[in-house]
Amino acid sequence: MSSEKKSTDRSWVWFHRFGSPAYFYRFAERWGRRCGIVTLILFAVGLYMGLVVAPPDYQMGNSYRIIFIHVPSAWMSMFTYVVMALAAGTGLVWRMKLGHIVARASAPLGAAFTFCALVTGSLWGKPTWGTYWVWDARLTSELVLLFLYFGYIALVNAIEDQKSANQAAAVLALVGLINLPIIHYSVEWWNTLHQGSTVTKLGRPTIDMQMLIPLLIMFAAFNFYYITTLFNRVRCELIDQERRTKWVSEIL
Amino acid sequence: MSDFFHMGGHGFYIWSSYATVLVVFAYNYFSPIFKRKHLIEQINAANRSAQRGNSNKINNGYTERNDNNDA
Repeated sequence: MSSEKKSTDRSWVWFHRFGSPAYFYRFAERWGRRCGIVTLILFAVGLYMGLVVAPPDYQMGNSYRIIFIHVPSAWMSMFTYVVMALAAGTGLVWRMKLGHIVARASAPLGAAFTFCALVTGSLWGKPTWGTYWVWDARLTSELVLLFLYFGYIALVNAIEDQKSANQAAAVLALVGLINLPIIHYSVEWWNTLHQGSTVTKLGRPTIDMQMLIPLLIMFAAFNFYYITTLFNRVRCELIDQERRTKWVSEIL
Repeated sequence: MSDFFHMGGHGFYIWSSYATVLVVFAYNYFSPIFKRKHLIEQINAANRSAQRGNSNKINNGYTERNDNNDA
């Protein structure tokens, strides 16, 4: 198939420009920097409000303050997985190489978020439940998520041919999506120590405004942090893979 | 101020949580930046040696990529 025919076939897709590595590199450079600044501001405000301004919880005392990093970490661990699986799926179905690059750049970040969610959760569990770890549904399914990320990373690196590595890893990522509803509904489907949702509960959230606002700011901070680091990683991957091309020699 | 670090007896749990996240986030933020600098140096060095005409001897182990417009 000629490359000309391919590009006309794809021209109706609004994001076709993002298929161009050079275009995406510049896009990531510009927006990565802006998102980095927003991230810093959000973290400063969110941490101040969460650690200093917000009052102690009437049941848990101060230990609840771990919520401001635990819940965003856990949310991002799942959100990043969705982004990774969809990006890898895009790469698999539409043969868009950038999809695989975004997926590969997301995997270590998702693993990092999952790791943070598990560690902060267990440090919160000790003063609240009296134990660092229990093998209950929520904790176990989150641990499975961490292994899914590890599996994706291992698979990408294990297969020599990059194209088949990307394809095999994309299939793994898509199959692993099944774990996400399990994590989310685990607190409802099984008896668990882990408390149910407080923020996303439909209707009204069961959390005080003074705690909800810093939590939402931290959510935003984590999202912007993800975008910032994702763009930095994607830029790395692009330079690495496109090192022989003209646009890379132009930006060096 | 010491009340702030003590956190009503939960200081250890809170501050180790925040420290973990800080370390993990800082690592993930800086590692691609250092890697990019390293890559650029590597590519520049390879280009310089290519200009000197010994690209066949030193190509950093990277093979020429088949550039199929696959986006």
